[in-house]
Amino acid sequence: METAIEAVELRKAYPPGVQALDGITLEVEAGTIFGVLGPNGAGKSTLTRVLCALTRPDSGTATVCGIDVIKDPVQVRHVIGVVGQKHGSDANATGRENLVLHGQFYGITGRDLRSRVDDSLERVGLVDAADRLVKTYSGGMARRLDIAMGLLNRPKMLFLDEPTTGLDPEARAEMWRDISVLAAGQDMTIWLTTHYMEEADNLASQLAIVDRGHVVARGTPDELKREVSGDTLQVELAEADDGSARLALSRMAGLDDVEVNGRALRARVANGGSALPGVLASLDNQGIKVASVTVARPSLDDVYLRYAGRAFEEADQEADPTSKDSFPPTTPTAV
Amino acid sequence: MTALRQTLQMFVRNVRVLMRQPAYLLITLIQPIIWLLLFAALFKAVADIPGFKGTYLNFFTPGVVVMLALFSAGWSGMGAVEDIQSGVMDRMLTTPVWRGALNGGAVLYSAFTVMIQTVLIIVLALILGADFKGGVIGVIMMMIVGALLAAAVSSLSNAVGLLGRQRETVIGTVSFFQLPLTFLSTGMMQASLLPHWIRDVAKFNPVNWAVVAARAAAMQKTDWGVVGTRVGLLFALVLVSAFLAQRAFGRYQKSL
Repeated sequence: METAIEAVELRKAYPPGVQALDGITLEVEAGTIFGVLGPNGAGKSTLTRVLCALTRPDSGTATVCGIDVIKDPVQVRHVIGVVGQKHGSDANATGRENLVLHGQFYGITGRDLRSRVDDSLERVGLVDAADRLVKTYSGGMARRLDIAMGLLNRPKMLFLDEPTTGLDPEARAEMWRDISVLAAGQDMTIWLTTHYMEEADNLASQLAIVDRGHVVARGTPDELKREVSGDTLQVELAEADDGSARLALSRMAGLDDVEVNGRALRARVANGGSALPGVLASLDNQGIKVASVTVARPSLDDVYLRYAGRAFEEADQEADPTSKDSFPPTTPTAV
Repeated sequence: MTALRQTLQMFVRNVRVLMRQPAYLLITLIQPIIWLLLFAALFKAVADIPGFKGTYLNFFTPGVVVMLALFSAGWSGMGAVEDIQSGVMDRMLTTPVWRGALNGGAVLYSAFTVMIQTVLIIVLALILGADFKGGVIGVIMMMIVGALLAAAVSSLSNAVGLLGRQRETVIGTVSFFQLPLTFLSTGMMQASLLPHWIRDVAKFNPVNWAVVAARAAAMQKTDWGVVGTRVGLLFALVLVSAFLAQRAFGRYQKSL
């Protein structure tokens, strides 16, 4: 496995005493989408800024594509692309002018620059809007221009810091598609911080859950969910239970926390799919009729609750208002 | 080479923004005209004070040039604040662009604007009957002096913008200094008519260095000794200010 990012014991505090990073150690495999999930104020953006060589940690070390971010920040900047939380484009310039100046910052010039700018405008579907001022763009268009800028230097490592925060659901879905396409088409590693469980679940192949400046859990979304005490089995009975259904299921091995409430029956099970036939047979044996059955995999919400010891939404609200990760509260709740 | 090229590219970005805002462009061009007309009319009687030599127009024209340099370059930091608040600054800082270009583009732009404004003032002053005894070379030297002061002030204003990150900080700091620095100079009043303490303070005031140099260059047979020392001081100030602006970038990035 090739390592795209290696961070060791990163710490950074902001006055007055906000410990944004409290000893973060992680490794990112090259060629994957690595998701960093956490509530507001968890330290995601600070971590991203450190890895982008935008700011320095108080202590600890990190390499991106094998380059030390503290000792050799300029080299790091050459191999990365960054799409920040805020729009990075100049509203008083056109899309094309923004891209040209951005390319010039990498020392790209002449025909090479022109063709890269044209390619990237085409890629993000902004050819028609290229010569309009960015202030006339919609939120989604401006975001696509940000992506185009992030890709202009053909980075080996692309950082996306909350790319969908503040976008409407349609633009968000579009962005998800774009990110998947990016990840599939190129030999590029993508770092994606997000505040949305759903987004991490959909896009990331590896995930770190961050809370209060710590990595509290690591793994694939499925692994993380699997570690949270199994699936939830929900059975809706045709008639209210007279006690026999509860009795039948309590005797079954592998079923925990059996709960019956009128016609609704719930139980926790390690693997819902494989337990299901046995459950149905056992109910059938007792002559109990079943109206419907659902197996729910644990969500990342459950995972977060398990590792951070508090619910995601609660953590979000608790977030220190002085935190560097805070956003406008207008974003829809998609957790 | 790359450093210089990127500075020019940032400069072009600023000029383009100016061109796109006709109202702002117009104000930039009209302001010097109003200042010269208004102040020359208002203080006309100053020339009648016993001990005042020459016409007030001749005396005050270099003063207006220097005041413009101070006042228009002072707002340079607003651009830095805007870039910080819009996210443009952080995006630029994630690229390998030479950090000096980010300040340098704004500094060049301030110097350039002041040169254009100075040309307008000179033309108007000629129409009004000013007598530039320093000739073409002296007048060009006056423009350079204005541009040097503008460059230094622009760097300092950018540094304030980077450290304060709020428009209010820039507005407060800049307006705190502008008028006192103007009045603690010989821009509007002949040195011999100033209180002693102001004359003493003025020796350390870069605005006064610029006024003295501009006047000695353009309004009399150029006194190269006076011009040379003041230009040297201003040039040193440009370098120190640019260094401080670089430090401010460092502080800004550290705080991210």
